[in-house]
Amino acid sequence: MHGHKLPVLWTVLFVFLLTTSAQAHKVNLYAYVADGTIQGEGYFSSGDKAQDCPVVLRDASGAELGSARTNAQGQFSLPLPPLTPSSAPLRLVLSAGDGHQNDFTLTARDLGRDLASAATPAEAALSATIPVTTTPDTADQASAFQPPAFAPDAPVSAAALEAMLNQALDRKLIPVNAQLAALAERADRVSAKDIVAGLGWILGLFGVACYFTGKRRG
Amino acid sequence: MHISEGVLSIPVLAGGWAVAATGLSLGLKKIEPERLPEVALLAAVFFVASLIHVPIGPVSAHLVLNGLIGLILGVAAFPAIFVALALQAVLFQFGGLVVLGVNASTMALPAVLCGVVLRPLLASGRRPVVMLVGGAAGFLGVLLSGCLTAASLALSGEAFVTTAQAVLLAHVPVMIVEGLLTAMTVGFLSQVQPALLAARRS
Repeated sequence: MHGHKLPVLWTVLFVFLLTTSAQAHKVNLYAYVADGTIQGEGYFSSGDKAQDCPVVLRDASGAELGSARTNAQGQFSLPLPPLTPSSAPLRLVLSAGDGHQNDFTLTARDLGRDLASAATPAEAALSATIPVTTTPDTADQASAFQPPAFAPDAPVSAAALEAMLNQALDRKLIPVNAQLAALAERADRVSAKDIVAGLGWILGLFGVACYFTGKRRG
Repeated sequence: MHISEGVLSIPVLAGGWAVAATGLSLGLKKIEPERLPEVALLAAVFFVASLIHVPIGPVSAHLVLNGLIGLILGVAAFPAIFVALALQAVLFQFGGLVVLGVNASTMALPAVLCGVVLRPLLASGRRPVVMLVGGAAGFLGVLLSGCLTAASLALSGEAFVTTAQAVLLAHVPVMIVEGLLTAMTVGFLSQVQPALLAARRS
């Protein structure tokens, strides 16, 4: 009995030793919208970056809106195309070749403002022009904040204020988005917990099979 | 070699499930109650082995061990591999439940072939022969799985030659490693536990 179990056990142990860098075989994708562009990253569940892979952007109806390729760091960016309210949700599809593919959905909520501005083009035009005159890129946020707040024309200043707040928020959110991407990447890795869970399932199924074969014979 | 969800066409997916269902029912019928522990243990081996990942350029590949499993289990390799792949699909989202039929078939068919064609050659029990057969099983298991993966991608519209090249090139190191590992394991088993490898009445 002992001799029967040993070799298989040996194989399992050997395999476990090799698994110290538990890596696996699935491509993932994470993306967010900032400053009118879609930023994203493709990576394997092993943590390797998905390099030089095509990414295609499609709208809700499946029409292709644009495409990009990932760079050596697995990152890609593509300009947010003009949207209509019915475009959402947008779908990004990354193909890694070898039969591997995954997608990421940018929902109406992710697209929030960009969809809203598509709905009211006049407001969008307004918010697009005001920031240029106040040059928020060179001025610091406080001074960029000032002029429209004290402008005599109240409705314009409200729109301009929103545009500037949005721009400032986009900049502030870049590190947060990057951190979320890193978290998503970590969550997609295979954990020891999952491996043990799988082995437990196999053991359980074995038990069920034993139960039924034992019952049949008894 | 897990094909992702949404890559293959519907006829290929349906075909994969048809093959998998046939293999499953044949394999389950073949399992004698005394051999259940072997099947369960090798399912666990396959489940864990697929998590060993060999990076080759931009492509990734992992140990398969289907040759070894086929050599020991024969047709019963089908349910073992199916269960392991189903758990990987559910727990890790490798592949997916819709493509599970195709993935199980591409992995298990070469295993079954190794069991049917190569296991009788182990009967001699001479160590060099046994190791050679083991090496061949390890090598062929991965090679054939690669071919079947490329074929199912090609049937869904990807260019066969480029896909096959990409898949097979990525797996050449895996084939060699698997051949060596399977030769070692089978050589060891033949000395320690020859009954595990003995030809079974079927």
